[in-house]
Amino acid sequence: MLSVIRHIIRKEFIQTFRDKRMLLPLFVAPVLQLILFGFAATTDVKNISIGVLDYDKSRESRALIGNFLNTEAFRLDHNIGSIEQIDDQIQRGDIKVAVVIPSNFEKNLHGGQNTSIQIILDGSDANSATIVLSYIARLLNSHSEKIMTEVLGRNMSGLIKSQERIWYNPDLKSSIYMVPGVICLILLITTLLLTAMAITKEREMGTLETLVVSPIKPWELIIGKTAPFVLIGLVDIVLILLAGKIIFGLPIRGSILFLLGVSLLFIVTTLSIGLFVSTISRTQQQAMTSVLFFLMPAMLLSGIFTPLESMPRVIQHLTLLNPLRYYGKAVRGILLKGNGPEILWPEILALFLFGLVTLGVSSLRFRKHLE
Amino acid sequence: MKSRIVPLLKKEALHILRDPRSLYLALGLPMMLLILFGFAITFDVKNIPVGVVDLDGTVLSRDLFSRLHASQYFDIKFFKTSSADVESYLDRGEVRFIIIIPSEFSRDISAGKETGLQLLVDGSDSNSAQVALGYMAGLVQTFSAKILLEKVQRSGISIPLHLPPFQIEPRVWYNPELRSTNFIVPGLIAVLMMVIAAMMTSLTVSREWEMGTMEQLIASPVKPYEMIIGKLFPYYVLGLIQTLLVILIGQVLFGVPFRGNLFFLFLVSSLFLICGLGIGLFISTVSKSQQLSFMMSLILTLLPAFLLSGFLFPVASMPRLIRIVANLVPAKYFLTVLRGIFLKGTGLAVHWQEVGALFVFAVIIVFACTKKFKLSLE
Amino acid sequence: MICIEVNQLTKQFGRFTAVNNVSFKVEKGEIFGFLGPNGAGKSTTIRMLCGIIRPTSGSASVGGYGIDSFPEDIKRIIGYMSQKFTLYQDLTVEENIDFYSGIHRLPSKLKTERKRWVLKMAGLMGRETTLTRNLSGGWKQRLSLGCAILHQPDILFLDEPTASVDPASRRDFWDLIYDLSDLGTTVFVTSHYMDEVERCHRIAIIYNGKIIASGSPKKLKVQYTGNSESSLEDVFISAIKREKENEK
Repeated sequence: MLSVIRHIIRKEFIQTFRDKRMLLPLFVAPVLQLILFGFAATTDVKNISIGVLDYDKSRESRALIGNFLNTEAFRLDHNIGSIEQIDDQIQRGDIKVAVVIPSNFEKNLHGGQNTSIQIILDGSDANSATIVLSYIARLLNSHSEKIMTEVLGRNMSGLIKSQERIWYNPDLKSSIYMVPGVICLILLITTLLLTAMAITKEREMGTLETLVVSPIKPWELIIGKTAPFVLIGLVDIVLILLAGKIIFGLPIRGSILFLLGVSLLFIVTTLSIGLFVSTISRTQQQAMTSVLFFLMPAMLLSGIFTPLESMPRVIQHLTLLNPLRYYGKAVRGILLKGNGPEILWPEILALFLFGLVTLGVSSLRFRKHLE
Repeated sequence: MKSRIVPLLKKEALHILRDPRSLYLALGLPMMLLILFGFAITFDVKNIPVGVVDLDGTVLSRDLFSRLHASQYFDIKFFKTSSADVESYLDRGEVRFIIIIPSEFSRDISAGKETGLQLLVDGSDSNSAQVALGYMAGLVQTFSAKILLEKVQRSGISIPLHLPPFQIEPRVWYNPELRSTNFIVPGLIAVLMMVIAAMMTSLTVSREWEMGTMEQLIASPVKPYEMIIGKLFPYYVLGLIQTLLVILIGQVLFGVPFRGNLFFLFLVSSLFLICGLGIGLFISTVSKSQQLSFMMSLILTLLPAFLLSGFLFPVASMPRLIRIVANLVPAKYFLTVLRGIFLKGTGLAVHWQEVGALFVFAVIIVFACTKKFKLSLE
Repeated sequence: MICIEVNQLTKQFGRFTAVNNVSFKVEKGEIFGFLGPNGAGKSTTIRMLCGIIRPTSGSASVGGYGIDSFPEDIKRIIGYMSQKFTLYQDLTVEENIDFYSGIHRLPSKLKTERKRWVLKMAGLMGRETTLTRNLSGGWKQRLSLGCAILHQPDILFLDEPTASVDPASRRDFWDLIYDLSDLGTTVFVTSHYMDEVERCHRIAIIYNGKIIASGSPKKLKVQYTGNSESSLEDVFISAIKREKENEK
């Protein structure tokens, strides 16, 4: 019995690796994706082109501009002479932000009168505009604090400072935040998508019929067809962890074995969904389409890439039905916080239930489909 | 002379129509993503779960607490007067950070001494942690300025300073409310076009290889260029329909403005579609298997279109090497033009460089395809 | 009149020699059988003659056109039916026929006429709108053949046309091939079914990329077994035996 499965597994491995180029997407791509996500998916403010229009040209205005020079967040590369020029540069996309200092800035400041600084933003990229704006606000707030202390003297200040102690990811590096996301993505692609496509391919080629008439039992076929992808998926996880450690200095605080265990539990669900997709697809193209329809919302509504609590309440409730939500939380918890089963038991329970239900439904459907 | 392209076109159109799911992908996926991005996914950070530990228990500390409570950014999950065992909340991920008000808080402030709030932050979600810290800093600064003002007023000294010294007056152009749908819609067009163009063509062509029908076509008098046009044109039309659909939904459902020239959009989209279709065709002539084609188009088109185009993350902030790679992603140029057309109403006069880059891409890819396609016929 | 002429044709895939110095001639109107075990080089030879792949060395001409210089002209006068079943499964019978007549640019009058002819030949009258996917093996085979001869090619290349068809359908299929040959079409067919090849005018036996015997079935029988009543199977076995002895 087991030997039957072994044969199918071997066949599957041979087929997958017959094409040596398959090695590329299976093992090189995960690392590539990690690098992309780690370096590119960053909301850090860096190298933002900023234009400054200084009507005042005073000591105070230069001190204010100094704040933008001493940081790698901004690149001050345009000396702008008029407001029309700002208009033009922003329209071309040469600068993203412009700071306008009014002509009586120093006079008003020293005279105790209200004065304001204009920040002009290119809102066509709303995402980075929001981040840039909050960054500038913080920069200017601390400048304003400095002016206050200078004028009022130390003993009058009594300012409140916050001391931040950041845990788990002290440098707030987004690459470390992204690793769990990449793990989820890779697992979904190798286990869900490739299984769905592999089984559909047998149907497309007509070889599934041959397998069905052979004395193989459906569950043997299922295990045989899916086991290689499970293995590949697990190998990929280890690969990503290794690359994450080497390239980004990813801390691995929890147990890798525990992580692999939870992943295995999650894989039961993804494989079942893959199996289900294969029963409703006749061609590989259909299988791919169906998987994309599941994959996109599942990824976006998992809390892996954007915080769940910012979503509308209804959608937040909806995400409770998303297995990825639990897995994503578990991966992040294990890797970055060193969480163990005593903390992650609700996630494990949820994944177990998902696995049970999806496996039940899809294997029933698969068996019926074969008959 | 009858053209061979017509039957090829007809056949391809039938393939698409026979497989309604591909049509759903082409037309349903844009809607789904638009709705997801429009309603569900915001890059704003709101309702950040926080915990407060008040060791001071004075009027002042309660004032700070009520400000936190009133803020729409924070969602207070617990309030405690002792810091025992609060760390476990971070471990379980129930709160993003914990604010600890020290016991000398009020006394230090009255004495004019600098005092510190302690923030225990879960940094694992670095992006939202950063934004949350920004909100927190803003809140503390206003609070601190208010106390200062009261103190100055009470002391009766006249000081040569307006408090706060200056104000910040942000003005946002093109998208004044910084609505994310306004920048998502143009970006989505680029991403979706890549999916349709590259992914679907690479799959259909490698399917012909896998099924052996390609061999049949090669043995027939069909010429490579006829084959390519016949194969790609239906997807080109589909891509254009999709663009129109996204614009329409964007306008009707989300009120996304369209300020530019529709004809210019059509031209640039065509150029970009040619790039995408070419990449898809190239992938399939290299790989000849659907599984491999899919994986390759995922890595070579979808991911770069998502991550390196400036769709969600600013390219300027990426490391130098990644920025160089990003310059090789057609979607980056297309996206710049799209945002210009939609939100700024700009045209060729502003975007000639991007259009030029897309043109060069298209020429290179078409050249590579005909070259490679001929080779594999031999 | 010589219709296909092959001269020392060789094809190498890397180090593996699939077709080794093969030469033969096929007369117009002949049914020429190419017999050999799987992997002997039958399909590779056909694919070179149809211009799908290029030979490593040697030359060949099809209908008077050299395969190196005029592959496009060859494609116009040949019909090719590959080993794999190569109709579009998600198109209907009629749509498949229309597609292939379209890429051969049949004038519309001829097109309707040929369509009727193919439908009748394949016994698919009244099933025009059936999805090809839902046809049974024999029907699919005949439809494939129909699509390959829509444009009335002078030369027809059939690569293992009956590999997955039941015996009755196979017999029908060969009757069709005879009809075509009577109309003047040259047929080049590969097979590993001995009983089928028996019906060819002339055959060549290919083994390990080399032609080890050729001639009419009768001639080969006499040459290899000394008995014109013996089966081609015996011819085949003794030819391979001789070849192996020669190698030693």
